[in-house]
Amino acid sequence: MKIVGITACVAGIAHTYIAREKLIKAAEKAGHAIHLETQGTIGTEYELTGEQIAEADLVVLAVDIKIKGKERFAGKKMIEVPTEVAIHSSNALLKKLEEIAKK
Amino acid sequence: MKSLELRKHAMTGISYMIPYVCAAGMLMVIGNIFGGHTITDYRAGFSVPDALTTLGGDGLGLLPVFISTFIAYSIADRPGLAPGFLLGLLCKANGFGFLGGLLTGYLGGWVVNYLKRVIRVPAFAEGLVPQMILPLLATILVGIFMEYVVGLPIIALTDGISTLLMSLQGGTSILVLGVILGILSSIDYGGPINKVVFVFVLSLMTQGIGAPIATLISASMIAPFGLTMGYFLSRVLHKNIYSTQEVNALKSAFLMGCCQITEGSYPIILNDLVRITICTGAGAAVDGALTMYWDCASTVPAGGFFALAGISHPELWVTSLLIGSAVFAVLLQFLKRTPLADSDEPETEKELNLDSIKISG
Repeated sequence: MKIVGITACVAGIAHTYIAREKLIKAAEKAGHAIHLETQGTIGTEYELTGEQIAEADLVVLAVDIKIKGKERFAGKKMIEVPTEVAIHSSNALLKKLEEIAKK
Repeated sequence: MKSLELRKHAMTGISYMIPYVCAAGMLMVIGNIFGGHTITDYRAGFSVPDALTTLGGDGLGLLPVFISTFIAYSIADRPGLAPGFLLGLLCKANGFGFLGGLLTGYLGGWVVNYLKRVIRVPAFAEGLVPQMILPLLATILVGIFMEYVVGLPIIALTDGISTLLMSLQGGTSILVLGVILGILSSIDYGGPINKVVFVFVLSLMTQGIGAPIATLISASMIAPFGLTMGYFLSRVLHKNIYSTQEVNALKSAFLMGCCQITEGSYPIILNDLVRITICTGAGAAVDGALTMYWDCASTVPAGGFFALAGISHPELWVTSLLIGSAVFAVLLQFLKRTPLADSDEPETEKELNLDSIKISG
């Protein structure tokens, strides 16, 4: 499965990046390709390319705040969770994503 | 009905606000350290510290505008910015303060979203909707509501407080006055109630009665100091009541608190407004009673620790601040909600909270 997504937390300096790492780790463990963009206080980093988005089967948003560029995912199945879920339950979240993608 | 997502919008606003508050607050702190004063007439000449203090102060004064703008933006996207900004200015002008700015942010955003759905115009006028009609109408509607519905009780409240304070001036026990001054100065974190008290105690100061203003300065510092002391107390007790984000915010909150700037504490206070405000009220009540009882009089109207030079019995003034903060800190241990545990335990995964997942598309 190919996944893209965005992480963004309130302070935009720590949890944004922890959530990204946890999700990437969990996705790789489960054998999925994942690309995650961060929208921290510094601005957008690891920006998703059009190609990555076009190829993705699923969009995961681990965000506590309003994010930019949601319209890029129009028509895709989108799952939104708070960053803490991505941080504390990344593997369980990945399983859930697999279920959702199958539906 | 779609959930209102109150928390998410407030958090988005705060997320934008944190760098703003840090920059403005630190400008003021640095300016104050080097003896800066607020500039009233730029042509009369000023020093660099004066410029820093003034810019920082102006910046913090515009906080209602900033938070209102970005909450409205979070709710209504671009069309929310203009009404959010204008309504924030209304809050600043009326002295509705930061909490007023929060309110106009929500109202402005929702009204824009509602208008977006219901307004239908002929094709030739479609461009006018986002450019003029949405921001104008939303600002008028929420503006009228703020002035005549929200504003009236606030005016009644502030009038009532003035009358109360006047009536307390003669006769009443100094302790009661201290308790009331302490609570009123602190519980709205520099909002309209605090401003009324400030006007009242400032007029007393000009008449040579300096203890009430010293009480106000001290009570305004209770929130940042109490939060700081509460943090260390929680560490000593091995209670985990601060999230990592809050600990980060606490550093600048404390520094700004030293200069009697409460705004740095907002990111923490707003996570748990009611409970923390109970702590603030209790701490400030004790603090107010003590400063009045010990008759710590100030000849300086503001400045936190930088006012110390103008306060009589400075050691007692600091003592009462510390005791008040300690009351806050102890109460906080019981009241503050425990945040979700922090992140770095790799293999102990929490059960997935299915309610928190939103699926679309």
